[in-house]
This record gives sequence, structure tokens and C-alpha cells, in this order.
Amino acid sequence: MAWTDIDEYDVAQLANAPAMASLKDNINYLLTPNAATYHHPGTGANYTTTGLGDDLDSTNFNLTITTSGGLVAACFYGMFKSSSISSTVRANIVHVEPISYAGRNLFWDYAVETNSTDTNGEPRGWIQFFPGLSAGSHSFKVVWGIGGGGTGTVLVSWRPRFTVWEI
Amino acid sequence: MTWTTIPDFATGDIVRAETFQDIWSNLYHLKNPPYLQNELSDNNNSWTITSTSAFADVDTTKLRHEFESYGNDLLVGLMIDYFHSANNGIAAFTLQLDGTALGNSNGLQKMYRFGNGAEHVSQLIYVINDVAAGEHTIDAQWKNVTAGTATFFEDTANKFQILEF
Repeated sequence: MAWTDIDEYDVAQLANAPAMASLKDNINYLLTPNAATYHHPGTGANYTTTGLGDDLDSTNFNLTITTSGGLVAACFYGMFKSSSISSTVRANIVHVEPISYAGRNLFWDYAVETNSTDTNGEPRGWIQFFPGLSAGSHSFKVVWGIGGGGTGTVLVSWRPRFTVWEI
Repeated sequence: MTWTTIPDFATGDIVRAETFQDIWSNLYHLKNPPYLQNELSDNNNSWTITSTSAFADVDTTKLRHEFESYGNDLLVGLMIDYFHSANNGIAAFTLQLDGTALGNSNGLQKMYRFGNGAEHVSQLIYVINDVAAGEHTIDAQWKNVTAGTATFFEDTANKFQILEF
């Protein structure tokens, strides 16, 4: 659903059907803004990484929405685990941009981290905002890596969830 | 853009252009709520604190937001790198709205250096309900808890954000 800009109203101007339709559509838009979610079913192999700046899941934790322009929020929740207390699992949400995407996947560019080696890992959930986006299609990915060697894991049985929505 | 109170309507009223315009302006406000973000991405910058006595502002520019509320709830987000000079060193963090601390004497959350671990990202997500309409200032504050020096580092992805909703 798209947001419709309108012109200023003049004194004595009559509201017409198209204006009322836009008003209705915009109210509906605010009720259910453009959004996308992937909620892992909780079965199958865990996600693992030994690299830096990998996609968590280039198919599923890669969401695209068409926005009317402005602010977009993204939220991820998952249980992260490290193979060693001396290694740190790190993750981030990135806005996929054709030009600078590679640069945004830098090892040091991350939002959360943990070195938990607990069997169940440790929860990490966070919100990131992406202000000032142009109207149109935008994709967002969860990227991650591990510093210090070893293997990072996201435990799928805890059903990691990724949501992006237009504010 | 300001929020305008729409008058009640009675049967037979004619909706004036100004009222219709106010309805549209309010919709635009809902579509574009107040949002402020400070990027804390200067990798050469850091802050330190040793005092365990009282909470103090971290930085009255980068970790402060001055904003006009329309009288709604406010989401506050902080993402920053934390380190302590001592193994298992602890510092505490809080928010202050218009000079009033939002946490208790221990703050809103503690930040830990686990063992002799390296710096790591500390996150705070906090909702302030029913912020009064008008001008406000929100500050991030901290204090040291255990002996030694606590440090905040700026890093590429770190941010201090507020969003009214």
C-alpha cells in the first residue's frame, strides 16, 4: 500500500471523492504500514559461520519492502553461540545498497555480539533504524561473523525472527 | 509540523478547509514521527569515567537529544562499545529526561566486562510513556561501579536514537 501526498486545501474548496479516497487509504496505510517478516520454523540445521560479514541466510533473512520514503525500522531476535569464550559472534542488520553494500559489511560494523558458549547460546534482539530512505524498493539483511576464530552458531530451534517495517 | 487537536463534529456541520487541512497534517505527523539519531561512528573517540559516586552526562552533544514532543511515548535506543580496565569491571547506565533520572540509584542497567574480555557492544532499548507535549532534553548518563576506569568507545555502527510513537 502506498502513501499519497496531497496538496494544500484552500478556503471554500470542496472535498471530492479522490481526496476522500486518499484520506481513507492513508489512514489504512498508517494502520498497516509496509512490512515484511521471516519467522524461522524452528527445524533444520543451525546456521554457522567461520567468516566475517557473512549473510545469516541470504534467502530468508533478506527482506524487501516497497516504501513511500522516510524511516524504516528493522528488528532481529535470535540465540547466538560461540565455539570458544575467546571468540566473539557479531551480527548486524544492513540496508542493501548497490554501491556501498560491500562496505557496510565490514567486520567492525556490527550491532550486537556475544561470546557465550552455553549450550543454548545467548539471546540477542535489537532494533535498527534506517532514516531518510527514498521511496521505492529496499532490502535488508542480517549479516554476522565471528572474531577470534572458531565457529559462530545461531540456534534455529529458538525460532529466530526478522522484521522490517516502514515507520 | 505540529499536532493539532481536531474539534468534535456535530450532525449538519460543514467541514471547513482548515479543519480538513489539520486532519491531513496530523496524518503526516503520524507518517513522519519525531525521530533523531546521533551517529557515534568516530573510531578515534572515547569517553572514560572513574567516579562511583553519582551519574554524570556522558557527552552533552553526542549523547543528548533536544526535541519537541507531541505528547506520546518515546522509544530510546543506545548502542555503544563498553570496556572496563579491571577484569569483570562494572559500570552503570541511565537516562535523564529534563534533569530527572529515569532509573533508580543503580541506573537502568549495568554493563559488564566479562573476565578479561575485550570491549563489546552494549545495548539499551527503553520506552518512556506519556511524554508531555513540548520541549524536552534527554541525556545518557553513566557512573563507574567497581574500581578502575570504565570506557565508552565510538564505533562504526553505534548510535543514540529517539523515536516518538
